[in-house]
Amino acid sequence: MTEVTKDTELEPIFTTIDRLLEENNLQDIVKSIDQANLPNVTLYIEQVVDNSPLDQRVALLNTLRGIQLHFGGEIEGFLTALRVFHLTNDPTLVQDSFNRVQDNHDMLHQMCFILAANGQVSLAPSDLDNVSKSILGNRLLSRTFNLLADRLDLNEPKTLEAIFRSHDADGTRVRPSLLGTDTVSMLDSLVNAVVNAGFGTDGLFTSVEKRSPDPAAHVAGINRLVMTASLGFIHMWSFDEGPNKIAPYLLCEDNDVVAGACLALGTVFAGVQSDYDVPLHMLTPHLSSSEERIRVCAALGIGIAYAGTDRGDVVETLLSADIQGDYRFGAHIALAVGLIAIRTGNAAYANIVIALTAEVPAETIEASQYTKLYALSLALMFFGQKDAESTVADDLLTAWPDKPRAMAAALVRATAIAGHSDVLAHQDAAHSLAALLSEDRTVESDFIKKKSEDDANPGLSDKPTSLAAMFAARDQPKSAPVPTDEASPLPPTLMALSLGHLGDDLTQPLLGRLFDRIHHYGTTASQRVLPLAASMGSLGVPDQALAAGLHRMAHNSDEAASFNAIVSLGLLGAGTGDAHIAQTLKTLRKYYKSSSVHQGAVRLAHGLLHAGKGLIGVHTVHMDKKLLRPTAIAGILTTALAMCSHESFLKEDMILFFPLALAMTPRCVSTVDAALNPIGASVKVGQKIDIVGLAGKPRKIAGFQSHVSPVVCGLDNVAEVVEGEFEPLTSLHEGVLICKVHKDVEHDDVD
Amino acid sequence: MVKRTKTTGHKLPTITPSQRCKLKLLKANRLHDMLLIENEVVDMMNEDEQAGEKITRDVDRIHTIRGTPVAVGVLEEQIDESHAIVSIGGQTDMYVSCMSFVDKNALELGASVLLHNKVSHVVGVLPDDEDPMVSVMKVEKAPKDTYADIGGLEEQIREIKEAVELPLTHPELYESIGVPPPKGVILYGPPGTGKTLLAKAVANQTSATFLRVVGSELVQKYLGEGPRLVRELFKVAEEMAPTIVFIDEIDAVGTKRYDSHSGGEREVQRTMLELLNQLDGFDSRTDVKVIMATNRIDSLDPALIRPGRIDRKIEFPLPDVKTKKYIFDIHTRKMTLDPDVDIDTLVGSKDELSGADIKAICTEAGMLALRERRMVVKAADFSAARETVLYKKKDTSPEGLYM
Ligand SMILES: Nc1ncnc2c1ncn2[C@@H]1O[C@H](COP(=O)(O)OP(=O)(O)O)[C@@H](O)[C@H]1O
Ligand SMILES: [Mg+2]
Repeated sequence: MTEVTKDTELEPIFTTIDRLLEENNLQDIVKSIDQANLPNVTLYIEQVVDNSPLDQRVALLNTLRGIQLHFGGEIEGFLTALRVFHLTNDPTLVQDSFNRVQDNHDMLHQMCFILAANGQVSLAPSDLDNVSKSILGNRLLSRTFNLLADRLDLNEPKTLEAIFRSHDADGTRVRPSLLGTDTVSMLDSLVNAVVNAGFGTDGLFTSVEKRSPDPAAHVAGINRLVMTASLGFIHMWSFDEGPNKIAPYLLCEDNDVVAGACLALGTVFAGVQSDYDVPLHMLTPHLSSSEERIRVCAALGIGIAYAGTDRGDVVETLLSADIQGDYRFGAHIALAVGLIAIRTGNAAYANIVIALTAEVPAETIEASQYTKLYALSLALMFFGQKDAESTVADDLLTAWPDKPRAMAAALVRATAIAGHSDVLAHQDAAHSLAALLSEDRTVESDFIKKKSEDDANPGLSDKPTSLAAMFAARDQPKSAPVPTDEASPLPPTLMALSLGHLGDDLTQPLLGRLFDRIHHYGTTASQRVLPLAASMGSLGVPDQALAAGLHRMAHNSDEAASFNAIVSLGLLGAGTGDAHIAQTLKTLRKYYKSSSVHQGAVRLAHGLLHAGKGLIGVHTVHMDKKLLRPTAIAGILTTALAMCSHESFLKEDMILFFPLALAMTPRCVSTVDAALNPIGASVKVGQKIDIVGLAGKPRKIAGFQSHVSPVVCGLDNVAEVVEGEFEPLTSLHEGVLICKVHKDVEHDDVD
Repeated sequence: MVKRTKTTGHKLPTITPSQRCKLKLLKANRLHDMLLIENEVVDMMNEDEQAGEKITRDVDRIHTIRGTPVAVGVLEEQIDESHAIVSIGGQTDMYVSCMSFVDKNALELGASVLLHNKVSHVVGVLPDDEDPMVSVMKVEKAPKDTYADIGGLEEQIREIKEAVELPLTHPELYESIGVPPPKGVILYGPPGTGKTLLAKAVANQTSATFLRVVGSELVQKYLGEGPRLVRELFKVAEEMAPTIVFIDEIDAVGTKRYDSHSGGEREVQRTMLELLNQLDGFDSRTDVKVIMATNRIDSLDPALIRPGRIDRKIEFPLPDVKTKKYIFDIHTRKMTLDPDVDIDTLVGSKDELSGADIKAICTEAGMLALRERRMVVKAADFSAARETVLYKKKDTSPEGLYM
């Protein structure tokens, strides 16, 4: 073998790249590239792009795409085109990539798979064939997922008891009376749905269903609504079966059940588009319902179902609904429009959405928790548009009071810089954060001073007391928490820090450090948002240091802060079943054994940790973390912002947990042949080795195990199809891979 | 003004590639910028806190209120934000109030708290006390070695994952198949074949707690200390479950039992008996797994590795030619090699080289190049290095002397 000599021959290639970079002549590198060193060179350039200043990246990406296309890497070029689109909002290159493969169905389908997983389906050309359309509509998702479940033999429904059994084994008893509360049973129904998400069966609902027609009979109000809506998770992605299962509930007498069913229907279609526009037909009539709950849920349902499609007719339908001065309904309409028209920068929609708030009194805008949904709507429409912030603040929102306007601007800025890893934007956000914190500190110390004047301080004279008095003290309401400032720009500013670095492995630990600092110095208001912001940056990659930080935050004496920290632990490790987080939750469960709200949070986190029985993750990035999934980010952002208003989140705003479905995705790699039939290729799954700058053919994957596809593989791992009978079309190893079949290959084991 | 500094658990990322190039510079610059911004934020926040020198005044006041604490109690239960039940000396339970300035985040169940001298209010929290011996064993900072640093040994990696990691992260799989998961594994093979290295990689990657001890640490000076330490070790392991306990060089305590009259020997044997006892585990300890490593499996007490205790044995053979090449690649990854270096001739010969030998050769070759202030390592360096290493190995190998 002569691999080593070849290595050293190659060595100067990186020096050549460096020199050409200095001379601004990178395109000349093509001359020095051959098939053997192509992967090394492109990997190196890719990372150079990621680490260059923002203004140089587009040019570099264009050169990179040129190299990729020169060597026939259509799909790789497509990914690069999507990255250019993310920076410029100019879809020309994406369209070009589609045009180039018009006659190559395999390539076209592979692109559709990528775009479907990405969620920006409106970028695809409109004249696609039916097969491509069904791929783009994610209509094969359900099949892939069920196949994976079959392969792993996981179809048996998981009951709540089974989920928590591992918990109970350690002998902690939780006072049953506390767990009986409605809030907890609502959270439990969510847990159940999240754990059985996508399976179509579960241990709570579908079994109860047989016995009584109304599974949520024993609860009322919002709890009943959420319980019904959680059916949406269970039937997620099942565009043919799901609607049939949910339709009966839409006809129910009970308004809560109908509202829940509207939301469930939307959730089923999260990321999935069917030919017949089922959600639109079934939900439109409910937009004009006389019941507020039903209207709101119908709007949100439509928003979830059509997120990322940029469907004008759907937006039209939503905007033609009669708002009747209902601020909450208007807010959900706005959110839905934002989800559908995400990153279109459509000024007309933006104007109409803001017009919805025209006659609303300034006090309402300042004090309502729904104001941020209007702001979010704008932020989603102007996703990735760097100059949108001033448009929003100076032109659109002139009628709003200063504070909510600043909040909206901060939110628009947060989505505008998402995934840019731009150091200047980061500095901006960090500075405005520090300023906000110092403002907040004054407000908060005033509040505490006032509070301690109000209630006579128990002080030093408080003698040790009897047992009876002790329990009396326990049952007394806690001292009033610091009130939530609904119009504060603090939450979006904090979130901007982590959104800005999505998918950037290098800076994650540094963000973690920064968040630790803020936790240390921060105010109560910031401590409530911090866990959400911190986990948002690395969902699906449960970093130990980050988890330890969240664990610390989970001991915060402020209920909202600790609640959010606990749920964030679940979000961080969603679907991974990470043993360390499970253990952390176990200790938290013991710690909070007398607080029902925290018990609920622990259970929810535990449910998220085992989402889809470990087969579903909550991912904001994909394709080797190079591409953002905007609709997924929209989903998690909605839920996180709703959680910032703790009180209402545990009540009527629990429905804002459901957009999280947009971020949920199977943690798997599957392989199909050219006819899109599943094939069982042998796939290695293991840890990624960073091989940038190495010559030759270094190993890319370490500590691996081989399985037959579809295989479970989250963001914390990488997969690789073993050379042999099947060969993927591309160098990618994520999502659904179309493979060529080599019939004549005899099986010899490749190292 | 006390400047509060708090260490965070976040390690700075390692920058790849390691050779000097534009990419490395860009990455380093970015890290630098981020750290600068962090600094700015911290400064801004510090400045803010200093306003009015309020802090210093408050600290003084807290000192006056706190007085001189006289008693230390254990927090048994927290009733609400400002009241708790505290036991003193493990007997008297008291219902007391917590002062508002006590760090609520540090108030965990079982924490040691300071009590005021007159009215028994909680006025402070003591940092956790763990047995210092055991806390030494806990691997807080994961070792640097990862699976990527291991050449070959793929079968071994797979087996250790199946036997140790899988039962911890997915116990339900074993449940559904109906086989009890193995309690642990023993890694054996000649010295320098990567046993310790693999255990380190497991520690680096696993999400479970990782405890490591070396067999010789369990041999203690005083009677009864060794067995106590073993008990302690497993107790901690259980508390922090899921846990992987790694006992390196197990032969220090695990050699065959024989009649012995020396007290020291018997102490060692008692330690091993305790180990056996813990492995049997009266209570089923499904989430504690044991990895042992030894160079001398044949000298181990058969009871230790009988099925039911450590029933999985993973052999680490000397690397074959292909693997040797891998290992060379790994250890020369960061070197600049002269084109005339041909690794095949280095590994092709019949010498029995272990992974550690190969590493030694590479290091030695690097040193030789360095001695001549060359940045490029040449083939001559490697052959010289190989001679040295092989010579040393033959010369001082203890096997040659004693067996
Ligand atoms: N398979 C291998 N791949 C890479 N390096 C190895 C390998 N085996 C041994 N080494 C090198 O040898 C050194 C010593 O190995 P070690 O694991 O301590 O041996 P032992 O088997 O005696 O515990 C390691 O630090 C590593 O650098
Ligand atoms: Mg060793």
